[in-house]
Amino acid sequence: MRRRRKTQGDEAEVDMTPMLDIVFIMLIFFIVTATFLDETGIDLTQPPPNDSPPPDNPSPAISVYVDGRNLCSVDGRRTECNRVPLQVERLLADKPGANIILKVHEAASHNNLVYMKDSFDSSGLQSKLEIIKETPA
Amino acid sequence: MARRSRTQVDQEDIELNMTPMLDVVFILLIFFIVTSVFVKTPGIDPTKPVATTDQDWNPGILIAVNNQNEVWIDKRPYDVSEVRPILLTMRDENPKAEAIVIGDIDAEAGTVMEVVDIMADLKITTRVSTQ
Repeated sequence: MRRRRKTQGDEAEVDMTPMLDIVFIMLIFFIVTATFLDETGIDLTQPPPNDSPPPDNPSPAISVYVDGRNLCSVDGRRTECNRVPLQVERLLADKPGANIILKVHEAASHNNLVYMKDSFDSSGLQSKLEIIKETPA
Repeated sequence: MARRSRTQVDQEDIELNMTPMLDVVFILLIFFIVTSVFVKTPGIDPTKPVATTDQDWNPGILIAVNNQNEVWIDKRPYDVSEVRPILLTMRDENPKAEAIVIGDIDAEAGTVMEVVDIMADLKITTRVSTQ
């Protein structure tokens, strides 16, 4: 025998079931659509081109070049790519305060670009990135 | 009266107390609402280069470049020349979003940097993804 409780002023029971259904559906929706991003990145954005004329006495520069076949050179001398940061440090001892110009051929691998930029950044060196476009022969 | 009905425990009338479960479910729901980010994932997972100076980045726009130099946005491949209008609409949908370019280690530096340049041109703060 089922006996319903008499509804009294402060004992009215709200039926929670429909709300629970909706809440569960929302919960499952958010669980399924949730994507947890765990990204890290470095800044490769190039500063906008400077229109002001170059200074009269430009500071010395070290140029690092990565060509289309991923061969590296520092100031025109062929070097193994993973020895470039070392080579640059050595040249910096001769030319203190020199700017580093990192020239990367557009067909070089992304890995080399990030490696070079990162190694200069980690040793606190300012480097300017330049992408060399393939010139039609 | 209330006392009488409570003492009479009927087999089919056992009432479960749902309140603690409801509390937990609500907390979970709120957690997932707050942490969920509705981003369009590129659909591919390139091998990222390694870097030591990288920083955490919470992007709203994700672009991947694979080793064939295809630019993947929202699970579709594009050519570099086609991505500008797509990025423009993505920026307009979410003007505050920051972006990340996920380049494969074997992608061409020219392609990745072209995407980064387009982003800079559209005034979207961009980083290049690393491990």
